Amino acid sequence: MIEIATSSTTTTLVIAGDLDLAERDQFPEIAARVVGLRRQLLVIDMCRVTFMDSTGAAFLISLADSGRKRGGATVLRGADERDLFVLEVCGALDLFRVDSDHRCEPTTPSGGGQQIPLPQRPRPA
Amino acid sequence: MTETSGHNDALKPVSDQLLSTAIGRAGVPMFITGSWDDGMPVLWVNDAFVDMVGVGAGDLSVLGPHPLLSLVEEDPERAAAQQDLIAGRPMLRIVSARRRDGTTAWWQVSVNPLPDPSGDVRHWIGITTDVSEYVDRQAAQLASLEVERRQRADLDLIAQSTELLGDLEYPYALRDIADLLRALVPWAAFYLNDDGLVYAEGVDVASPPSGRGRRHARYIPDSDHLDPLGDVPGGPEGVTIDIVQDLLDGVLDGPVVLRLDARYAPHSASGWLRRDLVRRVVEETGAVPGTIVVHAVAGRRRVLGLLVTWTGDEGAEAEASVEAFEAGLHEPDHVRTVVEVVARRAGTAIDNARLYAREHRLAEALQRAMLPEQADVTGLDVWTYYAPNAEHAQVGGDWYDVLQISDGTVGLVIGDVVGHDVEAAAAMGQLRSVVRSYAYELTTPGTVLDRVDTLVTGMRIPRSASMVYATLQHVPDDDSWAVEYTRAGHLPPLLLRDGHVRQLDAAGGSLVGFGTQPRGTGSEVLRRGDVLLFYTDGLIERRDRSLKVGLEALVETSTRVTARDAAGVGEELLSRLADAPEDDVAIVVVRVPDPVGDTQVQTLSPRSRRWLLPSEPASIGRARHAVLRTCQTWGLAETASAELVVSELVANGVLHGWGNIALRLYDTGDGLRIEVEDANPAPPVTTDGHPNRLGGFGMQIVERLADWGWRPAGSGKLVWAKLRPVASPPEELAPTVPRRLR
Repeated sequence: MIEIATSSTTTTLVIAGDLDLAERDQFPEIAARVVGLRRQLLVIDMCRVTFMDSTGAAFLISLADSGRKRGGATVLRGADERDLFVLEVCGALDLFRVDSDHRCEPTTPSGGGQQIPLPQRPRPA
Repeated sequence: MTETSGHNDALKPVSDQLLSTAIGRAGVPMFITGSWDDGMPVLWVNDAFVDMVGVGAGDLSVLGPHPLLSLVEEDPERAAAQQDLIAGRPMLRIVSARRRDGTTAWWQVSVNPLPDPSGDVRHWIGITTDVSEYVDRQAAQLASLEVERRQRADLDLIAQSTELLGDLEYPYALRDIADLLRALVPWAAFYLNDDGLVYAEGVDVASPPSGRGRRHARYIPDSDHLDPLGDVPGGPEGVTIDIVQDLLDGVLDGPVVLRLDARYAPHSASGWLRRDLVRRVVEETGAVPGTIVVHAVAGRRRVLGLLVTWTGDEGAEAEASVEAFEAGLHEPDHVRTVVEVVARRAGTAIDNARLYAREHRLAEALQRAMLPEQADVTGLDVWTYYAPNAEHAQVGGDWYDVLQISDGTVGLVIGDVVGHDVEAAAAMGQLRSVVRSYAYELTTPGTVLDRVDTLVTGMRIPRSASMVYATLQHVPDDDSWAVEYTRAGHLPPLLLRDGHVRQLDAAGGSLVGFGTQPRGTGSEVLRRGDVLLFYTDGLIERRDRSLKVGLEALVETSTRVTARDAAGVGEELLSRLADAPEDDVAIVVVRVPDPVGDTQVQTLSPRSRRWLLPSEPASIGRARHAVLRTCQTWGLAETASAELVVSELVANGVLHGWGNIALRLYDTGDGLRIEVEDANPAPPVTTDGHPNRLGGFGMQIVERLADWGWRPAGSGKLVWAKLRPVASPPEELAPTVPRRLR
């Protein structure tokens, strides 16, 4: 489940659930929409991501890379250490500004569309 | 030479007279010249010199200074050799000269100074030897060495391109082959006719194996080097015949030479190729090509594409090039041969790859459609297993189905169509659909089977079949499940409770489609910790024992089951029973989780688990779930890295593997061992960012968290990974490894 929200300067991508091969079909469309919005800043909210592997990482990398090519920046917030590990193995950590101060909301869904609360991941202290 | 010792007459010193006669009659041509400063006039020659060259000292004297030079042909090393003469040093060299009979010969000329008593060099003596034979032989050897070297290089090129053609999944196979060919010609490239010509660096194996397309209209940016020619917009006047299309259509065998300074009709193959190619050649080499040689890349039935080479001529030479091509002088023979061989091999390889990919897709899709599926049902721990024993197909006659009919109601089917060939699989597929559709409409198993009987009788399904259909209904009051079931000629399900096993052998009846009387329905209640076991006869059937004995063995084995998870129950049964199954095996294990008891009892169950997963993306999440649950059961801490490794391995299996994916887990006591098996024999790759594989970092992640390897297994491969023990993460990872991974 991936939601796109936008303001005049920022595109926010709220991702929930597993980010793996099973979700790959929706990646191109989302990437195209994010690029089409042409905002300087892309915020990827990972608070409710339950799992991400290299396929999911490749998706985030492609987003960050196309942002950087336009001179924009990508902020990653709510990513847990395993997600950062995956991005690091992919050699892509420097594409992201990792927001380590962000505190994910405990259970309440941040978007409007989400009905069922997803399992919350343990956050690093 | 002039002095000998001894007393015999014959050994007296040679007189000067005898010496001069000897030199005069010697078989090698000799001469004496004057000094360099005097122009080295020839003062004397011997008989052999006159014989060989046809001129004497008198004839040479009229030629002016350096008369000998007029006898030999000009060569680039002359000036260097003359330095010796000027300095008064001996000189030895090989020159080419004409013989008296007009033939050319190689002479080794040795010129030595004859200093006078004061030390000045006023005379030279020259001796010449005919070394034509040696020189020619050496030249021939060099030439044949060169031919051999070229042949070896050609063979090597063909071998390398054949190797590249072996892996057409590699996205730059054709580009790399073209690069190889550029050792022979200045420029080479492949074009494929995939619904119109397209420049090809690799092969899209998913394309139909046809090479169709007569409209070559893919956009090409304008090139300045083509104006003002351009394609002719309307009528046929001034338009050159479209030989490239003829080549694609198989009208011509090729190779053909294409003039790039001619006009072609719009959307013609020749015109398109001309525009695309001129742009590329100019970009890459800076030269504007005059003509190109086009070879057909032919498959079995059609020409799939083109192999285009440019021999290096420029625009103005086009006319001459065409003439040379027609005379066969355009390029060396071996170049044409090599290009032809490469084009032919590429055609066969592309054709094969596409045909194979098509067959493979078809078989995969059909097989996947036939394979049993397991729905995730809430509130129950369900493990399923399906192993077709057919050598050639991934499907057999056994099947199971786990259906979430409604909230709190689950349908379970296990069945067995006679035989385990493709026909059995087809019958199974039909039967499965029939049972499913009635299962969703009606709940009482006996009624469902009655309807199935009626329909199957009219459907003429060619094989008889047995099955059990059961429903499980959740009773929230005491968290129990009410079971209702009916059997059509199938072995009874087993109920495992507290080390006791009961056969659910009520409601028996004849095979599916042979129900003459209404089907009965048996009932039972499942409590927490109970296990319900459905199976087909492949689990217990052996040639050397009766089915009854087999069933007793299964019951006996089941009483010893200690596992507290469905996968563990299945594992225990398989490890003790299905060591050498002779038939298809299908098993469904349903366990009602016991929130209290499951955590208390330390089980003696073997610490290995296995799952068979269909090759689909949803299996990746299921595999992670299985690993998570198993790690919990075994009390292992490295769940986070286990999840990641399993996800990458299974994703690889889904993306690049064929057939079902088998997942196995072992607790080695020294870290979790994960095995993922699929039917594709090609090993996994660790490339960082394989161009056509999204990510490509999967195996790198595995490598960071585990020791891994692979080996051939059955017709495919098995990739294993052993997680490094949690206690000691490699130091280099320390700053980046997530806390949960440590």
